[in-house]
Amino acid sequence: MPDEKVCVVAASGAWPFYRLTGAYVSQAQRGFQGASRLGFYSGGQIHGLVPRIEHVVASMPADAAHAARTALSADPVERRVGEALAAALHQGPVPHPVQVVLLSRPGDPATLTITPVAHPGGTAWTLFQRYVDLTRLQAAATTDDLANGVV
Amino acid sequence: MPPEKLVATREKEMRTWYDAEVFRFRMFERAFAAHLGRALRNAYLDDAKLETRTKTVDSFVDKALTAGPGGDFKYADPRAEVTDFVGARIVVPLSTDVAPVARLLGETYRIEEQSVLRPDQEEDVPGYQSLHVLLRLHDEDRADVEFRDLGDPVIEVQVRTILQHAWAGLQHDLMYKTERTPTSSVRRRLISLAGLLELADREFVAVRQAHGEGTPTGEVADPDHAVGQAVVREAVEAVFGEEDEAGDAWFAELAVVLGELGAASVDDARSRLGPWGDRAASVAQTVRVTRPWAGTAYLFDLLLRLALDEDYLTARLGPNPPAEARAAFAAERAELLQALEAR
Repeated sequence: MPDEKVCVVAASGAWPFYRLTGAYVSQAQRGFQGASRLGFYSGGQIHGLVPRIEHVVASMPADAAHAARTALSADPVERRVGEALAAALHQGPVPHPVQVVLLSRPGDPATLTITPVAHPGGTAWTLFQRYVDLTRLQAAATTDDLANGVV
Repeated sequence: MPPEKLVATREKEMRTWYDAEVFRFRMFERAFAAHLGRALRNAYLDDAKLETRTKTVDSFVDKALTAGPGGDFKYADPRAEVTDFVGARIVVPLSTDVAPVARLLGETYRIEEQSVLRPDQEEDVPGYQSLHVLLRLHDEDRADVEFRDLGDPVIEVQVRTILQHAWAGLQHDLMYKTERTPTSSVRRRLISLAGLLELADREFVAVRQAHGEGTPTGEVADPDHAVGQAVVREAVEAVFGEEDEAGDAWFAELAVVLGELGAASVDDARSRLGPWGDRAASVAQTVRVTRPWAGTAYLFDLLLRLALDEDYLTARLGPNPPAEARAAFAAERAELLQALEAR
């Protein structure tokens, strides 16, 4: 069985946002090259939660009308999308249009817990996003251990 | 009707008083027309046509002499009780244009009273329908030179669509300017015409949207609830005891939800909250710990989910909601109940 691929995103704001909402919001049409999970890098480490990507809305208008329409929907997925968009709009300016990615929440069994992976270098490990095999990420102590498995 | 002598005395007294006052009201009317006209232009509500008028002396005297149901005068002191010495009417193209004007009035003036229907009007019967607002100037505006020494009169403002305006004018002529009392058949035909115009309005709204035009505010247009969203906002804010800065889109959307739940009015929706209505503030506090963005429209929907439980879902998704929807609904509800209990 092929290993799962993790897309690790630069996440100074995205990490606390995920903890709060269980979602990731970015510019529209941001691809993950088949990754099934998302990781978060900020503050010199890859954080200890690796959620599963559950649903991607690749592009939607980033405005109150769409946040309201989806957040008040009776459909649970739409509702989560709307709640994530409403939270993003509340925090400040967001790209327009926007991509909303629903992730397994912290505490959900689908969200894997790993030992945070430290990045010893003086420069950021990623300023955008990088890909890594899940098993390698689970075994790594520092980002140096990821060197051969990282795209 | 009060005795003739009393009527004659009151007529003389009221005519004398209003003869002396009417000039001040006319001055006020002109200043108010300029003030509201500027506000409409500044809000880019250029399609809204504004007319103002000051009550004539004869009209005031007639009103002052109106008999009440007990055979006495209807107004104990018409000078203090009449609310339409200065009146304004704003005619907008379509029903979706009413809400932005209502919002502007709320932002620009002190609203004393607001209603969508006349007191004697049934909500589910088509007919004379317009937004009625009683308002006054803010103190800082009254201090402006244009309003100085003109007092603080209440102003009656009506907002209605072109079609509502046309119907109201025609039916008024037919009903009140002929000698004969209209038969029930004539009244029924007029009501049918009102329904027809309401349908025409909806179709115009749909055509405008299909043509690529939004509402003047650029927000979601909902022909069924465009007028209702201001009412929904007011009622929902009252439930939570707070003013909400969220855009009208949230309340327009909530109005749609209320419609799907079969709520006949906002009061009906509020009554469905049951005891949860009294816990609104505490629910808001709990929810905002993790959802600080939650406005009152979102929270009201949440209260309905708590109060109605599975009925909420079946009302919106039909008798057999998908298993995933039921599971997610139950999980969210349980999580919230737990958080509330933990407080």
